[in-house]
Amino acid sequence: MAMAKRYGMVIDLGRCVGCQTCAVQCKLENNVPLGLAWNRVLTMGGSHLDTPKGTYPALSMYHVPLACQQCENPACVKVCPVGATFQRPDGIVLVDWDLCIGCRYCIAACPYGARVFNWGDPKHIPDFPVGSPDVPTRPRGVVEKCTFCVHRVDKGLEPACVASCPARARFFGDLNDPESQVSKLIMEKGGYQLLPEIGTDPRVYYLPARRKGYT
Amino acid sequence: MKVTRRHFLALAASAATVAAAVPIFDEANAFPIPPATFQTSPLVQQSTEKIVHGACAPNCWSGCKLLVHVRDGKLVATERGPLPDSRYDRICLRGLTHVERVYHPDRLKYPMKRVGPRGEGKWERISWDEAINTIASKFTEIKEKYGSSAVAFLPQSGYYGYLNGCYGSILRFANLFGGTFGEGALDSAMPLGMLQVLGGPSSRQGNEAADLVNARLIILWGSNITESNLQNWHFVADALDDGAKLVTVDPRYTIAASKSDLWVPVRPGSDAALALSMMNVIIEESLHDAAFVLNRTVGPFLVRGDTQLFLREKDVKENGSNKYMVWDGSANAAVPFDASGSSALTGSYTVAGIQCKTAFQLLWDSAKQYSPENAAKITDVKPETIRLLAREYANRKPATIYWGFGVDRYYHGELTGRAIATLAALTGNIGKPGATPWGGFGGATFISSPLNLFQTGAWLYPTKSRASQLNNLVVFDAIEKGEPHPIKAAYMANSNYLTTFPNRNKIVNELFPKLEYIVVADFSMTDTAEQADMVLPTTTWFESDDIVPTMHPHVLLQQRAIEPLYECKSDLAIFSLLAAKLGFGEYFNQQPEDYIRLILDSQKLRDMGVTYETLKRDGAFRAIPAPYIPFADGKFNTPSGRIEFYNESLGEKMPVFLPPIEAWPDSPLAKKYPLVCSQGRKKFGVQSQYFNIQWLREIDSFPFVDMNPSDAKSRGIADGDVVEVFNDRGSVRLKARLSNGLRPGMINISKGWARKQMIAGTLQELIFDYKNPDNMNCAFFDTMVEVKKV
Repeated sequence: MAMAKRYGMVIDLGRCVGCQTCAVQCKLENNVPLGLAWNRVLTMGGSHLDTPKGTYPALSMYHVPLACQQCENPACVKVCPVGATFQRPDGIVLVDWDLCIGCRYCIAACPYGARVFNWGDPKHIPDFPVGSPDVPTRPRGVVEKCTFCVHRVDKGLEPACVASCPARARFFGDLNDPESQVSKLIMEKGGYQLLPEIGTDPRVYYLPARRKGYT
Repeated sequence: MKVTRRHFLALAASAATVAAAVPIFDEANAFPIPPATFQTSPLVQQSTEKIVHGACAPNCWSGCKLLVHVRDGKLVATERGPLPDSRYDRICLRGLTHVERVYHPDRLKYPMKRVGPRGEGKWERISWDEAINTIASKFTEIKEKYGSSAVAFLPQSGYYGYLNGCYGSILRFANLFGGTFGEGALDSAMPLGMLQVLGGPSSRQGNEAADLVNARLIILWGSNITESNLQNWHFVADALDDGAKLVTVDPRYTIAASKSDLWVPVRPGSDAALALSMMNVIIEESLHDAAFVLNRTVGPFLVRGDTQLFLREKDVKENGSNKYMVWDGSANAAVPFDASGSSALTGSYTVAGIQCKTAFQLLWDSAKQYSPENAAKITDVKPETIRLLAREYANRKPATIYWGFGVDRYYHGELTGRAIATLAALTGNIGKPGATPWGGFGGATFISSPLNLFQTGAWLYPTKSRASQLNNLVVFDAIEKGEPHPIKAAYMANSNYLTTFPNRNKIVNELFPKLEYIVVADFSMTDTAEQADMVLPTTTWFESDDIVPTMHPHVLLQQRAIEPLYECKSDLAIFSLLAAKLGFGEYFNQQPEDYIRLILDSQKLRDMGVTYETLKRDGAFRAIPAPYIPFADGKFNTPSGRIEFYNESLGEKMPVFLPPIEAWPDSPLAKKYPLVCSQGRKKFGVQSQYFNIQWLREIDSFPFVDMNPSDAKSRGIADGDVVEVFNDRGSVRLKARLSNGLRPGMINISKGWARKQMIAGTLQELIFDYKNPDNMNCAFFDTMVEVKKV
């Protein structure tokens, strides 16, 4: 019997140029309110966006897109007092917005800072729902985060950020299948997880950003 | 760098800070926490969704194919669309914000006329009837008083549609009216330099972008590809994954630099000297492609020492031909180039008493001044880095130079173009897969015209009446001095001159007052629209039908996805109303579809099987040959048919380095204003477009000046301080951002912010606007400033 699917994502930081397309695509696809972001792109370098560390001209910088890490062992699920945050059989971690009481324990528990909270009534431009018709609206007072675009995955599509990445740096697939593109990339290119030491076992993997250079 | 949890928390906090800078929700709504139970509802219960073909076509030139989703009559999403060649399927952050753009609350909604002084911001809503009647009578009045060319039609590159874009109905109208049509002066020095060496047919031609994957070495030269040309990055990344090397030449540590095997932090404006020094190394170390130089360039041609012209047969032989002469090694004599089996590439010869050298020898002699040690003093690049770069470019073939307009923005910009084209000629890195001096530039926009793909003649020039087509810098002169003819009114569309042209204060305070009437058609209240007498609300790209050429090989169909919002009209619709009022309505009385059919009605397209019907089915077609590798046949459209790194028709016969006239350490202004002012592009906008898009402003919230911490420290400036950037032309107030990626001695303010987003002043009022008659191009970066804390 075939193993159940365990969906995972691979982000190649060698190809990623921090262009923020994934961040904006996520806002559109999921009709994310103004002021909230499910998906951000961090600059690993200086203290500002797209700035390096070091002293001119000895500098370095790379970018890390960051959303819910879709942990195999999610801290957020453990702390949710009402069972609103849960894990599907295929591993995808979701929030049931009908159950969420807005206590934000999960925000405190998430080691990746990947969750956001609707403090006010969601505001949008335009003021009607955009993006996918299959994503539910969220009222104020609930925690939101990346869903791996389950509404697309369940139709056999890849998440929107993967589809639109102009650097072709994002990949999606079944980690249980050793022949899948994501499994192979992780094996062949040294895929790694963020904060592996804390035991969350994310299903988002990153490929190294380094270039060889001239020596 | 080891990633720790602190990183995510710190960065999450800073993201929140940025968001807080732009008020998004009011604090009063933030509490109390809502009740514990509530119902969410599915977004859409019963809706109908249709998907139409679209094109994203601002001046990033990327021309991404979109699928435009419309639900219940409203545009709800733009999605990356499929092209016949799927390698070019892409979209970027800007192309994903169209839903916000189309429905943005700040859109212009109805015609308005100015009721206070210009620029004061007092407007009165009027009807289209009144707007059209007023404009028609003003234009008629000015035409009768000063001649029709006194009315100038000034588009820029806001949109590339053939009907509603910069070379669309506005040019047709300008021609029929007999007005002035302003164009160019932007991004044109480098193309001119390339053209002077390589010849046409287009001034913008390189291997198509997908060919980047074939390169073993890619040199990004003054190209901020990862922000301003984002859509071509994936080809570079493919090449790197396949083992190619990447070099970035840029004074700023760009994201592209962070991805490179070698970053060359060159002094701003010294790029030609770097290229000449590379030539020095290549020739001195005999790394050049001698066969290519001999057969495809003017290298072996003899140049007269007395006239600096090529020696012709007729110069040395009575009734001789006009043929170029070479020195034949076996005959030990000068012979016509096509009669020689062993042309000398180097040497100095006396022919019929005339001292001559080969063009290659002259290039070598010239390059001798640019030894890496000498060039290091000019470019501030280490000699060993120059040697490495030169050897790599000559040896790691095929190599592509992907230059960007960073190197174009200096007074002598075209000389850098000539130097880079010459580098390619020396090494044979041209006309082959993976080898071009013009990476990323093989696109339908500029190639379709030489290919006679479209009936643009019938569309744009329906009668014999012609507009006076002038370089924009000449337009400014005409407004100021009445030469070559007076200009007394302006109609601007797809353009925002005040945010995108230099020396803004001069335009606002000296040029605009000489204009008796200014009309701006746009879909948002731009800086330029603020100064107009009449503002017309236009449709966005998705509210009208069009066809759109791109900088990749395809031409796209733009289908009207939604009905025009508010009282907005397309440029074509506005010009149709104006034409009817002005008496040439018979040339503007058809539907968009009819004009699209007219443009598509060419033999070439019939042969290719492209019709409006196939376009409606596919949304796009590949317009140029596949693969597109110009010069593959070794032929060059120059007077000699060869690459003319020695160009006898120009003042400077060969590429040389001439320093920027303002932005240089020993320029007269440098003592007073020691910082070079660059204005690199960011991915959060295109030119001045997208400036008010909240999804982008959440990430990039406000304008700032980037400075190196050392320059900031010596001026007592801390990160986040409000500073004034100033020179004799003007000043701008904004926040300082300290970045180690900025070269000491320069600053950067990204282009495109609106006046009202600055604390005071504007970027473009700082900028140099001297005209170089050799290239007639705006030299934005050739500007010096000082910065002080306020």
